[in-house]
Amino acid sequence: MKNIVSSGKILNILAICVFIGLWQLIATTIKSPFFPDVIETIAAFIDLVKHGDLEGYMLLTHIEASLIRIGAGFGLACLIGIPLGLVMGIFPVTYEGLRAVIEPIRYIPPIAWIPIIIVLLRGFSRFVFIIWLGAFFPILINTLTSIPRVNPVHVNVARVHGADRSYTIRHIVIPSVLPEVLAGMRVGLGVGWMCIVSAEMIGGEMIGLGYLILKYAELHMIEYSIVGMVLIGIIGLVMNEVLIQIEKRLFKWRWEVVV
Amino acid sequence: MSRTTKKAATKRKKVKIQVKNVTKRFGDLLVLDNVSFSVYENEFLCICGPTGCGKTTLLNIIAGLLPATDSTPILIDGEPINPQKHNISFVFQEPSCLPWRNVRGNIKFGLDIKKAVLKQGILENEIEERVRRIINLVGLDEFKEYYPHQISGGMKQRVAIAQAFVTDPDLLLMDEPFGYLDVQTRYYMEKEVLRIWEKLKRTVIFVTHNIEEAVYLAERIVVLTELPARVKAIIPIDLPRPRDYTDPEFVKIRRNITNLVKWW
Repeated sequence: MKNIVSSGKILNILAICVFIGLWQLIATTIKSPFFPDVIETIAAFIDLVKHGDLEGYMLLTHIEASLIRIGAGFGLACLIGIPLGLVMGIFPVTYEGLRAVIEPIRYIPPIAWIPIIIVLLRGFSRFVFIIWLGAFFPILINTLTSIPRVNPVHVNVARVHGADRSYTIRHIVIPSVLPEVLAGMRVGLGVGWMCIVSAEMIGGEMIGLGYLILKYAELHMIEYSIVGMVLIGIIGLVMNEVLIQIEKRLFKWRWEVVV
Repeated sequence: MSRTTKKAATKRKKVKIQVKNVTKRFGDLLVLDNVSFSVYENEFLCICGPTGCGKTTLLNIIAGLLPATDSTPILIDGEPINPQKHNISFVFQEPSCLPWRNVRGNIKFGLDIKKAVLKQGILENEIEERVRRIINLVGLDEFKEYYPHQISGGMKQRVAIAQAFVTDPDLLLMDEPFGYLDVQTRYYMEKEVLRIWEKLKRTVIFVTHNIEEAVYLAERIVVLTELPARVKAIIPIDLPRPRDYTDPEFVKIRRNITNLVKWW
């Protein structure tokens, strides 16, 4: 097991090196002022850390702003998606009845909502709504589709001992679906985070990693945009890892499957 | 139990469960046709019949998990059976341990429900004490903190049996509880369940298609016909315990019941 972990680490480091090498190779080959190489990007990163952006906002301010927005949008998506998913899973008729509305909306990319959102919403709620759109559906769908997979024997055990519906839901259904709800949350967080650029495109504030990317792109200072991209990627990775660790702690009772 | 005390016990037999005229149809398929029998208090009753004859359906109806198409109410101590009122336990054929509860938590589950839902005034330390005793009785002391995925199939079934007995059930239903176990474990579990039953004396209905198992365990065997199931015979097994699979008397009874069950 230890060997696999350490060889995985070595491979990862190797993969990063190959990726950076390829990037450098493409940059030196095409020699475009709009395709910065690795060194220019690192210089841009150092500049942003030391001096902040053109308006004087520090890099950490941008990161913090984006994290607060994802927190709000994702939090709201969980708050609505999980209970709604449970209700729709337990009463399948509600999902069947609303399917014709929910399913098409699910496939509309959050970015397509921008014109409507500009009309309807102001300020912070714009960020929240776009991120919410991205995060909500994976959470809702994972929660509601996990309900039919509750083992009927477990429900019967509770019923035979005299459990009522509410007890059965709290002590059988919810613990059974929790792993899949958390998996849905992980997907939702990822999709929501990917919407940060769309959200900050219209948020009307001059901070946020998405805004940073767009602003520098307009100024054709692409190396600065790339710093924003890389940071979004790394933060996404870290958030995902954190949730995976939580899953591992919470669900240590699950089969530890090794394929 | 010796033969004489057994005789004495049979004299004051009291009817505990009354199953009367149970009929069940799934669509056009008649599964149970007017099934009636009763179970005495603290009796170990086996229901035996060909595979797919509706034994599990019958048990589910008795437990209240499935409505009968037509039936006189099933009575327990003269009242219609009700899981919210009577202590009923069920050991299922498939593994039924809750994977997110450890062994102790699983065994405790029924008592938790009695306390939380049915407001039976059981004190938490009494629950702990009963759970501790039953864990000891089924021999899971060393494994009480383990999760189901960490223990063997036989142990999981012992957890289910402990969970069933710990509530002091008025009626314990067992649906081929050893069906998924290998033969050695099965023999061992049969002995175990008898040992626990002799100690705790509960009313048990045990469903099996395995005739040898039924003759080994039962005080009486209800033999069902093939589909649609009717009661074909009710056979008292008056062999002394512990029973011996190779005892000529045992073999004779087994052969008789096999002939009754045969549908080919």
